[in-house]
Amino acid sequence: MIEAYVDAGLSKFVVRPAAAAPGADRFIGEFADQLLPLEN
Amino acid sequence: MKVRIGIGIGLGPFATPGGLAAAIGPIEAAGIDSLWLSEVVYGDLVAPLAGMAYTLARTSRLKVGTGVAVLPGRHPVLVAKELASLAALAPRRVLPVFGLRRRVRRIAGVAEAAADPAERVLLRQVLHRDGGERRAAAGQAARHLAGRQRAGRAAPGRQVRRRLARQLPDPGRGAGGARADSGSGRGGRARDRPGPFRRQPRGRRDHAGPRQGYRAPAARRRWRRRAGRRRAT
Repeated sequence: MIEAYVDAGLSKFVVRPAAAAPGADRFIGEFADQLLPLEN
Repeated sequence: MKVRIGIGIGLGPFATPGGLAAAIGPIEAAGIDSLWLSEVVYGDLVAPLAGMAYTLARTSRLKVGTGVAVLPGRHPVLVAKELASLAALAPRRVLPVFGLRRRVRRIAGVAEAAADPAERVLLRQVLHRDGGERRAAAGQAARHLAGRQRAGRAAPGRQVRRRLARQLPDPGRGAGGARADSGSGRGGRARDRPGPFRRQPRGRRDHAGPRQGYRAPAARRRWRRRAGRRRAT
């Protein structure tokens, strides 16, 4: 979904947990795995 | 354009002071670009500027921003000073974003401040200058706001914008036309006009009954209407 926004010309994003996520470490780990590769 | 993705906190594990403090280290270590702090006054969230100062002090690379902080109700010059201080302590890592409330809301019977376009203009003007220039702009802005407080009520936005345009030097135009408003216009300066809360001279009290051919200024009529409504509830 973020790739589609990048293709449309957006470049800055803030992603936040939408509910009481299971844990900070898990959220940060998944964030780093899935979203950091999208940066350039 | 550089693509950058930050973490926003609002819900979830970072939404408490303890959760935020514990997460800062792992967020920095994971190489995440930025952390965004929301302003939720009635809740557990850490206030954005306090959280920014704490986070910047504990990290060396992570950027922090407000997502978003509320400007109305804060003095724009003091907000600008705080942000400029943070940016001087942690260069290129402070990302301020402000929300603007458009309508006056009532919380527990107290009206909250509405967004004032002049505050936005002031904050931007003060933040855009460096060193001595910023001090000069902040001084002018503080004098301007102090003058408006003496007037006893918030001036309409358009009027304030015009006065600001005259008082603060325009980069393209140079300094000019300062204090051009003295004595000109309908009714003279704002602080010489009877404000809605200004006491009437004795013998001319409004509650003595309607006077022939006199209509109170619009602001006072509005204030009276609201005062009546307050008494009725």
